[in-house]
Amino acid sequence: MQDRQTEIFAYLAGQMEEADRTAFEGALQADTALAEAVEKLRPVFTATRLQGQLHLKNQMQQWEQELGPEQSGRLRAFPRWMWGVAAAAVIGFFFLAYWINRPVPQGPDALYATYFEAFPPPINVRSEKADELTPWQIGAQAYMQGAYAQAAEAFAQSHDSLPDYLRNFYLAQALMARENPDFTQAVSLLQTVQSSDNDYQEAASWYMALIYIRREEYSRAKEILNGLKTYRQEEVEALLAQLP
Amino acid sequence: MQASSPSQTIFSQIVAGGRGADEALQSLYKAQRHKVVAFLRKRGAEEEEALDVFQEAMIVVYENIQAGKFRGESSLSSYLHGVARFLWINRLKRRKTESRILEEQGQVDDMHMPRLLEKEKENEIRALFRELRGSCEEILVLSIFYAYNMQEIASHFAYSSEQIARNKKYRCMERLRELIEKQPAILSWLRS
Repeated sequence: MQDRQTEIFAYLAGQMEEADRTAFEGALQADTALAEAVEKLRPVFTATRLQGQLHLKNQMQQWEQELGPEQSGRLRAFPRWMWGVAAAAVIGFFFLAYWINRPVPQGPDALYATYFEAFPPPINVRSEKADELTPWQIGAQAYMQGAYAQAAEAFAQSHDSLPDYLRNFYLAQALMARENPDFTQAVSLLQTVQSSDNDYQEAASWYMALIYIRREEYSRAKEILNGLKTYRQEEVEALLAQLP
Repeated sequence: MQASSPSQTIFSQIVAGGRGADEALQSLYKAQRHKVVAFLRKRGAEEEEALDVFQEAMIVVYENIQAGKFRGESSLSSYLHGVARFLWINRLKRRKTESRILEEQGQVDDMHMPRLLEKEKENEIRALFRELRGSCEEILVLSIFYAYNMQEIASHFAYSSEQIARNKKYRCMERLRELIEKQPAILSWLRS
């Protein structure tokens, strides 16, 4: 059934090779059930494509903000090769600074810093007008831009019709990633995510384990990490090997 | 072996879909934004309008690459400029500024244009997906629009297997289908 759907989507997306497409169209003529299935899925495909366009537009607004003033052309007077030299100098400086001050990944803080990376942001489709943004959307945008403190505030106020686990998961992420993390609240939020049936349970466990490591509660961290059967397996093994 | 140009690399990444395509689109956007907007400004577009046309052109280029309608016959940059020009002429036509159109007409007839979402339909589509709830919107957009494979979907949502991702996608599609079928006006518009 699902293979058939994959085939239909490839057909609707125009992603079939010429020979496959001809064969599929031949089958459509002969097989009424197939023709009906295509017609059932066509609106789903079209609606999702259009929603994807909205998402991509939203992404482009984010890229637009990242471009900054250079794209206006005002800084073009500066010779291009000079940008390369400047970039190399900056990279060299930071590399040197990092090399001198690099953390040795053994203590709890260093382990946490090595393995913590905020979960990918939620998809967030922006409304036409800024004043129509819900707290969840504001939070998602801030999260996408790495403004985690602002994201945490917005997620905390979010009363959108979202499942609790989703809001709690991302609020916990923002609380962990912001400049002054609140691990206590993050743990209790992650526990609620872990205790209900949802797509983020294993990820919640991973982040709880990281918090326990930072608190030097290694036995609890190990227990959780050993319970992860498929999530980030390579990192889990590497992390377990470094725990005292 | 000849090394790929940046443009060819971006093209190949978009063809492959998934997370790499997202990064490739971002590179293309940042590399071409100024050039295409300046190109449209020279043809009479205001800054904001030029940006809007450029962003539409990015969507068209992405969808045409995905659908195999553009196979890298010319450089990605030339194609993007061509699409932007085509979209700009269409806007001028809608406004019936004929003298400008005559100046602009040329090799624009063979452009394949995917269906673009009309502004007035945006809210209907948003409302439809809002009703889906949970991670369904994300699963469907990532897998259908961004062509993420099931492994990437499973990894993105931390599912323990691709089969779980496949089942979720199937259930989400069924939910969306049911929602659409409850709204005959949207159904007929999506089928048209």
